[in-house]
Amino acid sequence: MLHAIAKLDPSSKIGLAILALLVAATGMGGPDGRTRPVGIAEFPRLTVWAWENPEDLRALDPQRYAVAYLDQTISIARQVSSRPRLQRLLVSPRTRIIAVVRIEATTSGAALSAPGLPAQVAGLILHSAQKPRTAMLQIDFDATRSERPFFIDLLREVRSKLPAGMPLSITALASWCADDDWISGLPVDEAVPMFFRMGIDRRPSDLPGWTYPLREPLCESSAGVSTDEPWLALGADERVYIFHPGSWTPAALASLKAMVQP
Amino acid sequence: MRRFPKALILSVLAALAFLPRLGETCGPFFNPAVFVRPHGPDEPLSDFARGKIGVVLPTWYTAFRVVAYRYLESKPLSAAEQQSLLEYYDVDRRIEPPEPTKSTVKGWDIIRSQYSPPPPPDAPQEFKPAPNGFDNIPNCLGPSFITAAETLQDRARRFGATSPELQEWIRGQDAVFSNCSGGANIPPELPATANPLLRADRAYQIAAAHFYAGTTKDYETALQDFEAIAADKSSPWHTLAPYLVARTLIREASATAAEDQTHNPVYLAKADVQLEAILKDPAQKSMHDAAESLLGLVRYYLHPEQREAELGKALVEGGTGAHFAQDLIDYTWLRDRSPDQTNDDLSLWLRGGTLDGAIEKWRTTGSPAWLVAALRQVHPGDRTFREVMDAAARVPPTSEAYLTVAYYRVPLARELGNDQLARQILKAAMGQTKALTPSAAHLFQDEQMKLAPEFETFESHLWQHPLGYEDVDGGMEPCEKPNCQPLFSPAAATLINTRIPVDVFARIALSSALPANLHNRMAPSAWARAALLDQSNLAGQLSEAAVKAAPALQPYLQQYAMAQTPEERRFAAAFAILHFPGLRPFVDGPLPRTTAFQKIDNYRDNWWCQDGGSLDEENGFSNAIYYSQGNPAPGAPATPFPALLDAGERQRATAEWKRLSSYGTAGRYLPGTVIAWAKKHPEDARVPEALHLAVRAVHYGCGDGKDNLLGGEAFKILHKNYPKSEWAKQTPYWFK
Repeated sequence: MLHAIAKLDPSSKIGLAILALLVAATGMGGPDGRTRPVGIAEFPRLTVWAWENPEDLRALDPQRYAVAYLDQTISIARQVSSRPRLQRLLVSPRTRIIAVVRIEATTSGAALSAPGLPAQVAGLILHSAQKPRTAMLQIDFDATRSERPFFIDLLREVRSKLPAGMPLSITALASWCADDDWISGLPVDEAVPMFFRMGIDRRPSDLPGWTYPLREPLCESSAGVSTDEPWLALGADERVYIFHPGSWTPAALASLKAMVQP
Repeated sequence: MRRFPKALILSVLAALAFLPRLGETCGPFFNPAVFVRPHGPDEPLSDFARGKIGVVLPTWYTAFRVVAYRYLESKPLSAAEQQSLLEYYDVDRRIEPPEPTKSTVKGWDIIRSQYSPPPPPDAPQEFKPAPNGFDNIPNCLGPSFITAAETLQDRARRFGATSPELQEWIRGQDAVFSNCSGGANIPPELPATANPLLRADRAYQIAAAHFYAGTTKDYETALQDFEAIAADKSSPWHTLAPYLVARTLIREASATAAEDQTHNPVYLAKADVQLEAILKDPAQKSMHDAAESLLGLVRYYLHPEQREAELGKALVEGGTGAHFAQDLIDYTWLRDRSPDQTNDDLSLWLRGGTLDGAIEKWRTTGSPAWLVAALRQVHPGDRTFREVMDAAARVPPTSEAYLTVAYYRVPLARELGNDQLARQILKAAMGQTKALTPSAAHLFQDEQMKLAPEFETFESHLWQHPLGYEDVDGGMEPCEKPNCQPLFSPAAATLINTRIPVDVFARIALSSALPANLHNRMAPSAWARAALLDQSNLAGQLSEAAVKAAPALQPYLQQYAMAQTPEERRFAAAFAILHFPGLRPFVDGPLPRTTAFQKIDNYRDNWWCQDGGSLDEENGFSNAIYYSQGNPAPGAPATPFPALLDAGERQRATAEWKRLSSYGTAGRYLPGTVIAWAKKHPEDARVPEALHLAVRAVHYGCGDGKDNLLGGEAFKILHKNYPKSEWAKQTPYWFK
């Protein structure tokens, strides 16, 4: 695609029109500089998670990697508050960006049933979706059983107000994808099972290429892994989100490139 | 014949309903019982802060070990340090600094709304988006809103709540706060005819507006303005202004940092000089506390190694008062970057150092902290062993180090062969009821179990009430009565499963002292252990108790009792066990099986995993996946034999554990036994059912991935030899 763009003559009207179409189609930005939503299938297969650490990810090839960065953490306690990202993030202008919103609820499940709370939290989440470079939204919420009704309402709320065509992703505890079917039917485009830091949820294997009993279709297209734990067996078309403890240093990025060599 | 891939089978298995272990979890989170807090002190943290440190473990988080070090060094935390620790930490080390920003913004909003002109539609924000569109800068911090609210109320009193002077002041302040989330809105100067106080306020507002607007040019202007205010002794802000010069320099350091830096060191160095000057100026005493904190931040970035050493020294020597927790946080963060590099005493102690180094330090300082470090590393063969043990014996019960020293002395005394001394140490330690923490009590109880000279004492120390259950965040849900049942501690379970002969196992199971919940589990296990070891007489003695605990066992135990040959007994035992997925020849530790005895556990906590002797306390689901990945089996037990066993009993315990372990997984042993019997005794009416159950055991059991073909073999025999049997009909598949 980039090769094709380079060959076009932008001085010709046809060239400009095709160029505009191509730019719009690739979601890299329109006349207002805002990223166009694209289908989830059009994202690179690999996504690097940039958590609350200073990150310089400009060295990542935008054709191969998207970046999912923690944009804000919403705390639901006696009141709802949002803590925005405070650590620097540098990315290439062509990198597809996924804004991640983490939710931490320290209140009881019953308090989460307060009327209007899903709409209030959704309002905060949508700030992340409305940022110019956001091409996808991901919500990270380790919802306990009693928090699930709230989470379902919240996702419905977010989905209904999300910019048209913007994919909605959630992270999922691996067990959500393996046992009870509570995430089935959620209004999301993908649920990314987190195959790391699983604690005693499942004892981690010492060997790469391990497997896990997945059942939920929403979880089948993607997987979350970490650079410091053995990766499970990944499908060739599976979207992979990669976590790294601490900042992505040049050495960590070099290791990553070695790990994902085709 | 149909064969299903294992992945599909696992998926189907995992789809079965899950019964949560604790009400609040979403599963499958398995919440093992906690008997000893591994990462820090027991609750309440206030007791720990006051010096009730219990047994200090090397697995504790650094911050807690630093506090413990202070007490081991006989340098207790001051009241201010204790308070500071409690404000920031809890026992799970979830650092929660007091964060007044939200409430102070709200406080400003409330007070501001009481005056005219009406407030701007958008309340001030504390964060400002960075130019890159991703991250944010904490711009307007809590104290700024507090100061503004207090000043507003003061000026309202002085000039009148509806006076034009106050309205102008408010307009200026609104302009200042409008810069919090971006922009450059600078209020105009007041005319020379205006009230001097309000002119001074406006000068301060202008400087603050530039400070929050935050371009490089703004910072330069803010610097000049604050310096001018500092020089104007008539301004009420002249004492605060030098400190704000330093803050502006730090902001500028951040704004002008190169891409590979967090701060520009040139501006940090200037801030360092400015803050030092404030600290040296008695006239600015009211700002010394704040300046000291800010200087710590500057040096954190400017000279991290030096700052780490400074903090290490300050934390040990005390006197940091309300800064204690912040210093502790800074120290642990700095230390985590390069934990092996600094060599101050605290850092060395946290690392443990070498035995010789610890002894040398102890000799020169006489500090119990270093005695503890030596005790942790010394062994009876070392030349300094006697010296260290003698010194440990002299630590008085009044010392905060007493329990920790006792904890490390006990195994050394045992290693030395002096069980009597070890018991004395334990008795004395358990007598320190005021100093004893719940975790310490459990640690000592485990030692008492190992050292008990007779059975009654031994068994009374096998079970403990858990302190709580691990929660998903690494914290702990308390184990509250009446639902809090006693369990075998990890040390007890390991010892019972691997270090005692089956007759002692049986004696525990039959003991009337054993709590009912444990008896009901252990009696069938004792029968299974005896049967698997072909100790038919003992199995017979255990039958009644096993059947009482699990009545459904009766017909199968009867069949076992009637078996004539070892071969038949082996089959009868396997046939019995195959009926009950909860039947296993060992006891569970902190994560007991929760599914009904005769029912399949959805997470493969069925029968047993890698070894029938069970070194492993993990539950079946964890083990099922762990071993199916080809991970190695656990090694031989490392725990010592309990003192009550004689040499012969120890030999038998070793031989029995070896034998049980050699059986491998239940998914291999049970079908293998059934197939062998079926081939030799096809006429036995139990065989079709046994083959059916063997296929099921491979399917639902905790296998290592090598057992599956046994399921296929059992399936083939069943369908070939008994095609019309009910059991063949009930077994349409086997599972690869």
